[in-house]
Amino acid sequence: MKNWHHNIEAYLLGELTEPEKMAFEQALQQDPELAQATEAHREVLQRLEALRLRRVVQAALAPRPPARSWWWVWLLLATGIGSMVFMFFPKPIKPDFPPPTESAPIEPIAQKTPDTLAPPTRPEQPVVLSIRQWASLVKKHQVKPNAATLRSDQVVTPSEKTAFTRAQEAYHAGRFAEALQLLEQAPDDEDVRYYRANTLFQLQRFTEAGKVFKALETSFQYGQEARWNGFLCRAGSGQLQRAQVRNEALKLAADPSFEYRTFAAQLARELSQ
Amino acid sequence: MAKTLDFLLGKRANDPCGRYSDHRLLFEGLEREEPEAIRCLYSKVSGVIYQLGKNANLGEEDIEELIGDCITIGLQKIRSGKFVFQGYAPATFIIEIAKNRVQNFRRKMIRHHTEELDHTIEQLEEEEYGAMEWVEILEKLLAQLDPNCQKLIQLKYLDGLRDKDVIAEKHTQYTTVDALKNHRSRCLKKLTKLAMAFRQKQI
Repeated sequence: MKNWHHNIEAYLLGELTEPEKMAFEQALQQDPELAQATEAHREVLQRLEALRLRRVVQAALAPRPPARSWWWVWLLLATGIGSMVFMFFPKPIKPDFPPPTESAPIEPIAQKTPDTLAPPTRPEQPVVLSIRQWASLVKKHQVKPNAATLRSDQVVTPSEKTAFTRAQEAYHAGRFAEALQLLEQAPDDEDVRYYRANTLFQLQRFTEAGKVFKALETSFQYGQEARWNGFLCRAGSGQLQRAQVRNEALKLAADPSFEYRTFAAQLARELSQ
Repeated sequence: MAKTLDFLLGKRANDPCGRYSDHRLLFEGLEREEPEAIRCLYSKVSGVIYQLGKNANLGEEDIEELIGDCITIGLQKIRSGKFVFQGYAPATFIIEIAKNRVQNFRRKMIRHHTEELDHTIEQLEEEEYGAMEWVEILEKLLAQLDPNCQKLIQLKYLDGLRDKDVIAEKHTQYTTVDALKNHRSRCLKKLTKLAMAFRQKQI
């Protein structure tokens, strides 16, 4: 007898094929426990939908920077056009009068580039960030590894070194999936773990990356970077609300022993906008 | 002329209803969950609901929450097809929801006097409007799941990502849609069990 309990979600989402659906509905009539579980699932899905809509409403109603007024742009354009008319339209020639002996030099009119004419634009910061927005935000603030952070005295065999070096090359070329595979082949040490964490970060596998960074927080060499990137992982994985991320960033920014406090202050500033 | 002046002076930029010149356009904007349409609706209903809340002695924060809840319920009704466009203003519908919620709140406040009389009406209204309180409870129950489960449910039901996009964009460790669905199904089962246990405790 088939265990239909695994198909409840698919049934409620309308993802079952017609024969499967009919069989499921038959099972519903025969199995009160299944019927009760399906009803409970239906209720949970309805509330998840309500929760999604509530977030949509909260995001739409969140305070926004005031809309910019455009009157000064029109004024600037009008001034520009006026100046051009003044420059390019010749004055009528009056042959009856001699040309002036002295004339005041005409002030050159500053040429406005399209950049200076365009209104300043600043992207609005939504209060509730989606997973994608979080991912892009934390990636922007990530402390990335570079060759200079590697220990020069590491003791590895040539073949092991090759796997790690190739992984590094793949990482810096942006081939993160390949880098991760190569790191699996490399011997486990702090450098490898640090690269693995950063590779997982780049692949947006923030929960896994966060665990590796957490383990590296006691590292003498990577402790500071791991602390910062680990915090970004928690933000990127959606475990923290926007206000919580901002507060934690402010705490890090106030910690004099933390090397990346300027990064933390910058992130807090961005989240305050 | 007035419209041109408004445009030149930037007034249209401040007017959330600029794009929704009639009820149908606003309704369609709400159907598409456009933030601008939600802000327009808010601008139309907030004054009336604020007054309703004040009359019921609600605090500022409660009134703001009430407005948000009423708009959320309105959007839910549109999505479920219970609220279809019939020519009248969406704001009217939201204000009716608010009136009912405020009445419900008042009834709760004086329940010890009229418990018997109000029982039936309250049962009906709980079904409609008590759902918003349950949404808050569900949010808390969701936080009790392990981070992986939270993420799987969030991606599908709160961020609205399609399973194949979750796999393609590597948001999780799963590499196939089937594995993802399988695990999420178990997570949803856990969440449902938590919700049922919570309800049992309430009873």
